[in-house]
Amino acid sequence: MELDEMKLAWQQMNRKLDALQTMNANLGAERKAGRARRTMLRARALIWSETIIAGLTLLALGGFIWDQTAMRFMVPALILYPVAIAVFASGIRQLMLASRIDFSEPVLEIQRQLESLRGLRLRTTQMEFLWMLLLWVPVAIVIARCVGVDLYAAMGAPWMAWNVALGVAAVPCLLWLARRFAPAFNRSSIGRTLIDQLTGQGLAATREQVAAIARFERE
Amino acid sequence: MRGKLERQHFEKLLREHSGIVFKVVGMYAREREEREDLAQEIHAQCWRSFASFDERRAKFSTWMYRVALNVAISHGRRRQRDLASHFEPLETHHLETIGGEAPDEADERVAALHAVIAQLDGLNRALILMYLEDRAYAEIAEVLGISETNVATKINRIKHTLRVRMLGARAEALDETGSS
Repeated sequence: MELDEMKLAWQQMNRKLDALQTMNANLGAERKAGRARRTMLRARALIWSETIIAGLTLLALGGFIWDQTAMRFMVPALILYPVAIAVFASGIRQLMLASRIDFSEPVLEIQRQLESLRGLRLRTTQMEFLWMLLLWVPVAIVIARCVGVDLYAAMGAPWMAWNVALGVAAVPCLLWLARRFAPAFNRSSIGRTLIDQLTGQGLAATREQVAAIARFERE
Repeated sequence: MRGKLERQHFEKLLREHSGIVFKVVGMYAREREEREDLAQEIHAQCWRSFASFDERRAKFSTWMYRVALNVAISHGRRRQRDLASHFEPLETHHLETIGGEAPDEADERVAALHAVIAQLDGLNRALILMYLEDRAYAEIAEVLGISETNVATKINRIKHTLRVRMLGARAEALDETGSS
């Protein structure tokens, strides 16, 4: 069948669809439009809330560092500070990118912008997750100090050294497990998203899509 | 706050061009619920973007194609794995709703059309949808953001690919007939 012949098939299908459209008012009406709007708002609210939390963490960490006189408490907070700055900066950048997206612009341009936003989001989540594994001991030291507990005294240096080592070892183990058991996670959309973010598969798909857009534009 | 008159104007335009949403949805979503979700997402995004609509710059249909296709491609990206593994033709699914007709030659053509569409990525689906809808190359170019020459080249390439694919399929069918 040639493409022009397909036009005939398309027109024939359209006639049926027109009849169907009249009968099935669900698609035409805005019966559940509120749900779609809520989904969009939720996505944007998530970026906003993450950015606000990162900003507040940054402020709290700054205050914590300012208050400390002992280096053993200041150093863990200083290690966490650049990570908090990076997460906050990424949140601001995501908000800026999201605010610039106008769905009535040409398809290729908008798809490129969406992929750029998606890529940034995936990189940020992956970074947050992996850094949290590596840095959970400094996080625990700072949080414990905030509630008046000296973790060095309470748990001892060997415990901390072991936990730092455990965090370092957990990263490759977790990545291996994520790749090994990816099919099991693929059954749920949340599991799939988690695995995609963790293993970088989502990021690879984003890069692939950007390349596809470029090819489509060029050819 | 946006006025009631603006909302009424928008709804009138939306009703007049509701076929665009319906066809885009049929091209990009497979299951009934997914289609409903996508249609609602398109409606909501159209309303959100309506403030940027300027009838001196573009026809409403062109503007609506852009919004609908952007939402649909983006939606498809979120469900890419599902789509890659399975694409259910719109008509087959919905024929039951409209009374169920016996498949005829034309239905086979529609099925073949869907088989072709299922093999295309989001951007090429957008291109073929507008081509099948008899949109001018200039409008397709305006919606997609590529040159008219590029549109013509791509359509010719798809035609060529289809021809090769159909010849291959016929040859296979002849082989099977010969061997049985």
